Amino acid sequence: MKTAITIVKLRWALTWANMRKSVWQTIGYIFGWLMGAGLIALVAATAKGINAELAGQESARHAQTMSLLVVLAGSIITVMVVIIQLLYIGQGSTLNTKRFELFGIPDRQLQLGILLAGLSGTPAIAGLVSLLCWSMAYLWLGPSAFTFALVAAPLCIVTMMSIAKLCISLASTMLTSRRGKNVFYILIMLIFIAMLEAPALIGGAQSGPDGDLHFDANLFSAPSRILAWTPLGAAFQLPFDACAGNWLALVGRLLMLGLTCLLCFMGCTWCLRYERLHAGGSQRTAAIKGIGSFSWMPDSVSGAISARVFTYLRRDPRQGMFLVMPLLFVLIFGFQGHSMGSSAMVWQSLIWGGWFMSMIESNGLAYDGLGFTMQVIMGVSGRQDRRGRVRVYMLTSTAYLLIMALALFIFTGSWRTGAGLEVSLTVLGVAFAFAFSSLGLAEVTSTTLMYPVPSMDKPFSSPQGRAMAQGFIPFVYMLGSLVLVIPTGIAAALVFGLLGGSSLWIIGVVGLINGLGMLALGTRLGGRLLDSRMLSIVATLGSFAGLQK
Amino acid sequence: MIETFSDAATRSASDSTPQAVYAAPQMAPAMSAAPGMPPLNPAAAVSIRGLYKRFGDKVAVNGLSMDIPVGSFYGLVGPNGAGKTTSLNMLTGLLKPDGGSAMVLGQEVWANVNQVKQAIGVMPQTDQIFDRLTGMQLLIYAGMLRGMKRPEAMRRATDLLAAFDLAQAANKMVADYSAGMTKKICLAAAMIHSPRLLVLDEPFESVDPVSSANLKDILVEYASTGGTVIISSHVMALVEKMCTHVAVISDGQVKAAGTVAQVANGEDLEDRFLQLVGGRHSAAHLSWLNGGGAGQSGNCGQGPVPQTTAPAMPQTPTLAPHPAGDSAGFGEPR
Repeated sequence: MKTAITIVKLRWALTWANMRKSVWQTIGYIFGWLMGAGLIALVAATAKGINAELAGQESARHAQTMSLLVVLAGSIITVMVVIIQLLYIGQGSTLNTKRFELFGIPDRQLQLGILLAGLSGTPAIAGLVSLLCWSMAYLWLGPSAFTFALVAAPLCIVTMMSIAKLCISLASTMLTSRRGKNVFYILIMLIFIAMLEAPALIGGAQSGPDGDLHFDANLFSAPSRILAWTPLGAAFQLPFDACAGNWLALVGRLLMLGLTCLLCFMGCTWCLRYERLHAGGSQRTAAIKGIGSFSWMPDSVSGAISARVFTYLRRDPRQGMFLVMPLLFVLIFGFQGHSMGSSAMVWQSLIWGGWFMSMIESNGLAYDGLGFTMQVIMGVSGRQDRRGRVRVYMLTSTAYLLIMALALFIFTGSWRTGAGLEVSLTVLGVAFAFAFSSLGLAEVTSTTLMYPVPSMDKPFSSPQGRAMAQGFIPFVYMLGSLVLVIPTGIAAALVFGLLGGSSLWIIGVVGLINGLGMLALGTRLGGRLLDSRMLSIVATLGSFAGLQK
Repeated sequence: MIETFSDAATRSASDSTPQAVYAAPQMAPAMSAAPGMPPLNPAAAVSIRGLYKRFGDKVAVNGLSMDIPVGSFYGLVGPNGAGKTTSLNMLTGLLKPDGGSAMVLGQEVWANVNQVKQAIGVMPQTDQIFDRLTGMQLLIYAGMLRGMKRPEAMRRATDLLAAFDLAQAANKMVADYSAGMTKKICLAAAMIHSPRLLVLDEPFESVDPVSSANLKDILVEYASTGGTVIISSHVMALVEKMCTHVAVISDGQVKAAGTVAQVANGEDLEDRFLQLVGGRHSAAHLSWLNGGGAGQSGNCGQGPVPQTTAPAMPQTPTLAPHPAGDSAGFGEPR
């Protein structure tokens, strides 16, 4: 236990040291604490409001509805917490177990220390206090429900943390090949995005053709009952068991939660032992045939850069992810459109896809990392660099949007009528306006507004100070892209205002010209900025690399 | 010989005044240089005058001046933090100096920095390459970035992979290479365009002795054809064996420069180096650091180690005192 407490102390010592080292880190931590305090206040107010609303009402029916919703929401939150831990905290954080290898700490003590250190962090404390405050929402159900809500709060946090730690340990221990890590990263990201979209999808499924939401509790009762018997939702069911006097189920759930934490702890300890015993084991390596895109890209300096960027798009899971996103938009809007009986809705996925496709490129040099230094060493000019990069992203997004548009033509049947064809092509033109304008902007922001990204070797780790920057800087790209497509917006306003919505094709053509113009401008400006900021960019990349260690 | 080794360089290092030693060639046309300095020498492979760089309060390079002759195998040696890498970065266009000037192959570095970079070969550090490319792709990439046509880049890449014993790993990602293999591919990337000047920072670190010997042969052969090699290294034996010239840098200044024989001044180069940079002292004699010897208290201060568990150990070796009897120990001026 002494060792575990020392590790907890170490965690906080490192936190204070980080704050002393960087003003931004301090701001980040303060922001995190404010967010935590805000969450607690919000949950407390909500719980108080619910209690006031339901006090004195018929308890059995409302308790059943409430349990259904709480268990469902609690389970989703648990899964989200695990995924967020995997994506944003993950291995490679300050208390990576590998850093303790030299000290010969027994695995169980080390694992306990890591777990306690996680539980002593701001998110865990804020979560615990929030759940304790949430207990107020059960006051109307009686003292037993309230008491077991208080008991469930720490159990809930410990279970979430245990499951998250096990997932992280298994991911880092079992995924030895680079390809395996890449696929796993993309998979987890997709699940994360799908879960973020879940409320909209469920809302879409629950809404009728009139667009009004028709909530059907029966639809969710079965999954909720099942989830209440899983580690994801069991803790959230405890107050309702106590309220209903269902003591056997309550004890069963308590045992299940205890067993879950124990098994997770044992699993993590096993992973520690496995990693130690298999450390230095040969990682599976694969030979790659030929020279790939280096054989067919233009035979020039910018062609070499294009070939390198294209190769990395395929081998870097962090970048590959954003190639999958437009497809995800098609699925989401397709699903929503289908449930609302409107196939036209899916066409907007082209615009969203085009808009978000260059998100990675807007911080592209940070994704290149110190490898970019090789270009600087070899005297590559900013113009050549930007040309090489734009060639790849422009061709990729053009091909992507065209293929998706073709698929949507077939899927929606828009080609059957002249009007459908006109609307579809107009949307495609606007999608190009967004895709090219945002790419042009990305070529500028990537030289000026850089923020740390996880290392390619450890995509599940989070460089210190990343969260703050990653939270805000992408908005510059997103909002800036909107500003750049204002000419297309003006064209749309004129077409609808003066022509009454006829001749829609004009919007598409203006969109295409708008996009190409902004792309040319962005490429030129980005090249100049890169030339003038080349050395400071290398220095910035060096500092980012330091954060990734 | 372009470089003339000034008397100051051979003067005893006991002179505490730092010496910036450089050639003062008379043949060179007047070029821009720091005030009061001789002009830059366009006939030298590298000519530096009064190079100065400060990071916050720390002066990393303090008026460094030197000339590196064409065709020389030049070693830059110095303790950690002496300013070697900072100096190399400034003369290769990777760091802008706060003062002074540098000329490489007759071109002022900061007048057209990209042109200078393309003319020379700088070995990237192992974390400064795109390691998700295969070895072959990386070399082709390096060649094409230098403006070479693809077929020629491919031909040379194949030759280099064979010469550096990497042919078997040509189609593997560099990220899967060992540390030594990565060093070799970095070196190959610096050489693919056959530069007239090669700048290598710790080129043999992590490289196995066999590969290291092969690489040295390649470099020596390259230098014999008129190429200039600058290496920075901590390994004095390597510098003594391979280099024709050496500059000892400490506190951002040149303490001594010239041919290896001139700098060694009849002594072992390592001893001479220690005299020039100072900082050597006698063993600290930490009472608790006893190797578990009989009757000694160790084990984190938790009491004496049982006699039965501590085999008889030889006495902890200590460094012999300085012949001159100076209590300050080694490296002090004689």
